[in-house]
Amino acid sequence: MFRNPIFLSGFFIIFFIAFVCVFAPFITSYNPNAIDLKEALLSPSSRHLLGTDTLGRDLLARLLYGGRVSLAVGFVAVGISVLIGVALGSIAGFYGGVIDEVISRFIDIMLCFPSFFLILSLVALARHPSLYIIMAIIGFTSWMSPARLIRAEILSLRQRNFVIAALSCGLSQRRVIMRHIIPNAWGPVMVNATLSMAVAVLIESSLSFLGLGVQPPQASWGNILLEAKECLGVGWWMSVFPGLAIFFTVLGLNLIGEGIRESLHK
Amino acid sequence: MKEEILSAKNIEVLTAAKKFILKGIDLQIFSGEVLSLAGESGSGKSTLALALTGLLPASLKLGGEIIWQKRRFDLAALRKDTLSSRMLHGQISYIFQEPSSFLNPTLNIAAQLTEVFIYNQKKTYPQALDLSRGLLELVGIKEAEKKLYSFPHQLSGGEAQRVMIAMALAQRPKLLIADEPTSNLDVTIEMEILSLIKNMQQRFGFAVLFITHDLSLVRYFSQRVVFLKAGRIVEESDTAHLKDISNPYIQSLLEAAEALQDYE
Repeated sequence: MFRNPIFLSGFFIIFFIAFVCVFAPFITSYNPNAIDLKEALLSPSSRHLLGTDTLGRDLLARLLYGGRVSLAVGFVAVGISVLIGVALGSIAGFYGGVIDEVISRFIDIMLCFPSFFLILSLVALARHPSLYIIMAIIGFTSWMSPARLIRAEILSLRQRNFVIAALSCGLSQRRVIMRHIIPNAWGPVMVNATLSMAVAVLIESSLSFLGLGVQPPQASWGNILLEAKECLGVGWWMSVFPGLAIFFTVLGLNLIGEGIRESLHK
Repeated sequence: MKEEILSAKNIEVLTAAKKFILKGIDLQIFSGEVLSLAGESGSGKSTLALALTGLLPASLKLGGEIIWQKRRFDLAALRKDTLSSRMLHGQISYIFQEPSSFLNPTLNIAAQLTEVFIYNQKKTYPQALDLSRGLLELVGIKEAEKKLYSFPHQLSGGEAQRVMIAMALAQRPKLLIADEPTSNLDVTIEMEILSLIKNMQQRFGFAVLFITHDLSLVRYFSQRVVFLKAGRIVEESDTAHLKDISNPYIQSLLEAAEALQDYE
């Protein structure tokens, strides 16, 4: 995997973005929420590398701290969805019968809702959602595709010889699932998880752009763009840089997913 | 007469489309004997092996019962009764053809061998590791220490089958079901594996149900043989009197075995 050029390029993009976001205080000395109206709307310069916004806040600082939020939402949301998806999918795939039927129909029902509008209405219901609620909402509305994937994998793995052998050794079903089936289904799930992390980052940005996600003054890439929309004509830097940040994050995650997929098929 | 350890009564296996794969199978296995189960491909030998402990895929319907060490198990109920099947699987071990596909590709040999000791026999990890190393040496694996930390794809077919035998022995089985254990190995290794199974059988005294389509192996390996054709038992005999059977099916199997020997 670490020899695959696609995976590597994606990995370095994401590693770089995550690194600068995590170590933001060492990279910029500005407070992302410090308002300084005298400095408002400055274009990129040596004092403010990426310029400032309408309230005079340093854009680089807001981008880096906002990146923490966006990446954390993506990561945790995908974690939740993979956890739920793997649990339900493997139960459905292994036990089959009525259990499988119930879980599969539930997945079908969940897939009927256009997910973004489902998220929108859930967020609206929550009024002023905290970061954690947004993570949970995205996670709880996106577990269906890992669930389906792992169910399909397990249906085929369950007939594989080494699973029969493990059962013939008298090991418990739970142990066979945890130790012999799920690890072998892990590859496609990892691909799916990285790709859906890209989607989760996009959803968070879209929500914040609509003013429903992360609430100001806390920065996220989406709400920086929302503020930038007001002055698209005078401050191009305010919309270009957060746009690029989202673009490269999604690109990097997609490259990682593609790279894992390629190395699995070798 | 020897003591009967497994007796199968009226075993039936049907596909979802109600087609019979096995019909009305009655079978007795006595303690410490080697019973061969012979038949052409597609006659249901492997299905019967798995059916005996309820290991078949859920899509197949299973009927009949077995009496294992004087306890009666209804096979259809057994598949749902995880406790009884675990008990049964702890005492009846399997080895299969294509041994490497029966090892989990994501775990090394040590992890798979110690599992049996740790989870079924409640040993600690260091104890389990010692026992596993001992077993690998017992089944004739060279550099057992190194092989413990190998993954299945790093083993040859013969080594993988020895590991499977070690795994089967780990459970101290009363019955070993060997489903064409050598059909994918070359001839020299075939004889090594067979004599290994025979040695272990004599040493530990378990019974063996030996499944094969090769009648020359049947004579070498076992005292009694049951013939299966199209899902039914057609003949049962001592291996010494194979030639006396007039059944044309068995004669054709015998001729095939002899023709093969001449060819070799």
